[in-house]
Amino acid sequence: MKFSKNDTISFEGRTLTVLDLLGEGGQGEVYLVSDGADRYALKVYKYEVHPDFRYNLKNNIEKGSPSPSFLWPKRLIDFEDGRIGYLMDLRPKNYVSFVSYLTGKSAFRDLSTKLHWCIELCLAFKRLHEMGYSYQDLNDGSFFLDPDTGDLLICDNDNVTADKKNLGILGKMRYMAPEIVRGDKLPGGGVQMPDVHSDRFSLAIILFLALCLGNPFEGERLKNYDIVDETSEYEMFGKDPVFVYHKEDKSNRPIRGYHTSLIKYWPMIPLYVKEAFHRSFVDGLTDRENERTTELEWIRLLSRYRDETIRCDGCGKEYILGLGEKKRNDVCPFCRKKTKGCCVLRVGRNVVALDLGKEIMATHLDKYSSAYNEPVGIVLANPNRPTLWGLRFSGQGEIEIKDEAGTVRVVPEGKPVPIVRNLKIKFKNNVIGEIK
Amino acid sequence: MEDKVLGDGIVKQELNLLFVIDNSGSMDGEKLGAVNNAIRDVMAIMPEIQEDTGDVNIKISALTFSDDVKWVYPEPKSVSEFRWKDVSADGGTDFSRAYDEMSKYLCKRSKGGQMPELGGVAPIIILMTDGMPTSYDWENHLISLKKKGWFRVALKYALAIGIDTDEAMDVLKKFTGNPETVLKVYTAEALRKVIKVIAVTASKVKSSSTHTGADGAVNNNDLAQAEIADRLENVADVEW
Ligand SMILES: Nc1ncnc2c1ncn2[C@@H]1O[C@H](COP(=O)(O)OP(=O)(O)O)[C@@H](O)[C@H]1O
Ligand SMILES: [Zn+2]
Repeated sequence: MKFSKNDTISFEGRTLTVLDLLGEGGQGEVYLVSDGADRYALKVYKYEVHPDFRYNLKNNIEKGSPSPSFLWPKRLIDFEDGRIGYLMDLRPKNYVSFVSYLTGKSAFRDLSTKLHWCIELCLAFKRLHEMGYSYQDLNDGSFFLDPDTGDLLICDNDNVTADKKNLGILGKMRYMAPEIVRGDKLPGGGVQMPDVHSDRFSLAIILFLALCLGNPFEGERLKNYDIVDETSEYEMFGKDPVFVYHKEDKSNRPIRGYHTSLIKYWPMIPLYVKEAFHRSFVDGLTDRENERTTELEWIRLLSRYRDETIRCDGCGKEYILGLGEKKRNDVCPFCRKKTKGCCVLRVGRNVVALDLGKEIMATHLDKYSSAYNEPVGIVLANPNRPTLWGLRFSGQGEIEIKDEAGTVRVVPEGKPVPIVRNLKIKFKNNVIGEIK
Repeated sequence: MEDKVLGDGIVKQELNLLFVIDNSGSMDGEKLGAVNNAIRDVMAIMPEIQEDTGDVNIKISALTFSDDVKWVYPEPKSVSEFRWKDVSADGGTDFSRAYDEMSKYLCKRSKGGQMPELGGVAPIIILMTDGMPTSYDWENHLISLKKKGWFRVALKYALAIGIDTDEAMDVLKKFTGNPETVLKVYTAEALRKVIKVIAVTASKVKSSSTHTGADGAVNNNDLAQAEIADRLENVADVEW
């Protein structure tokens, strides 16, 4: 242990006081420190790090955080003994680990909240990749969530490097792309190192875990091994991975009575999301550059998923209407109650189920926007007549509506648009929506 | 499930941690007291380690042996269920029976053992003793034990408590198959620290699946061993 309680560190003319040890990881210790005014987390590496590692960290600090979702290193500290550390913000108390979600110890408030988190995750990696970084060590341990809001925090950002550069870390088994597990030889010499494309593969695994509570490559083939060890993991995740829901190769299906959650949740996700997983986990095994679903593709698919969810009046759970399925969901998959009648808003290519509390996002009304998680409207019940629902928009100015009879009316900013079938809505920039 | 569960969860692999404790007469007093204390210490930290891992369920078992063998619990217990019960000392040091009992334990449940049918990872076995086998044919029993796949892949440590004759060390080296994982411990305090470091570090490393570095595939046991060695450097009265 490098520091004890009440030790002080002078740094950039300030004095940091060590208040507590927050935790210990493989690479170092994390302390709670205060500079008198604010409190931070200070990570101190156990060993002297390679100069390249230090240089990279320093660079990342200077370039700054890709988005507020990252608990990004803020200041580099060099200690006299040659060790280094960095300051970052503290993880707020309302966040729980993704691991605690995966193990069933915390749960998202509902499906929409979970999808909000998944979209946040894709948005964060989209930004990271746009800045020319790759994350390299994507695994279940780095992510945190606010169960009530679906907000995201990404910790452990010290292995992030400029894409195509590598500091020696390959990743964590079960989350690594197969070419990294295998250490594929490159035509020009050297072996395949983590990059944007392997990040994308790992991101798909995290999304699969989040939505289906299972690993996409662990199924029947587990029965071939008495013991899960380096050899079996190399085979299942590197040498010859088979997607558990591969359309043709059914040799690695989830095991009944064992992969229970996966078997329960997979049937409930929309077909277009299943297709995206299939593409990443089947075609993407070999064509790493073209067949791995990109962040933007995920964002669009997951937004579509969120748009078509409704809440069951019987059990309170959310499920999809099934607009993209072979057959719509005419009953709730959890309690079998008949699906309620629900209007939808069609605008551009979007179809949003207008259930109570449903949010209309900036991207629904503006196809050039990338604010997928920024609400500009919400479905509310009339406080005096709860069976009357309306859509209240903000920041959209006056909205022109035309009902079935052809009567045109102008709804002032902040007032609700009534939800009635066949109502046409004219938003800013002549964007036309219709309630169906 | 034993812990509070709000939602469904993913399937976890199973990691078995097995303590094998010599409770022959000579262990009486300080030695066994230290063992009892040490395991309590370990159990105080295990929930944290379990909490941090999404991939592995840690299961704990303890076997005591003297003239007789006895399981502290009939089957492996989860971290939240396992309660240590102090063991007391009496009798000889029958390694043969201990090895046989381990052989039985290291089989799948469907074959009468305690290893999972699916998704089991290599176990961690920590043997603690202060003496020589009182059974003459222990080597044959060890040979049978070594035929078990689960034994071969296990991370094995042996702690020689207050003894250091070459003969006794040889017995333990034969058990672990690796002189580096046989540790001589001289004081109660050292024993307490050593058990804690081994059990905690090994569970942590093995339950977090390897973060592989570019220097090639890392064997989980090697990694755990390296970390343990590193942490034990500062513990006095330990030799290996
Ligand atoms: N910013 C932070 N705020 C609060 N706790 C933190 C913060 N960063 C790390 N920790 C805690 O410190 C511990 C070790 O940190 P981690 O970064 O996981 O180490 P390593 O990467 O070396 O494994 C973890 O238990 C984590 O919860
Ligand atoms: Zn229902």
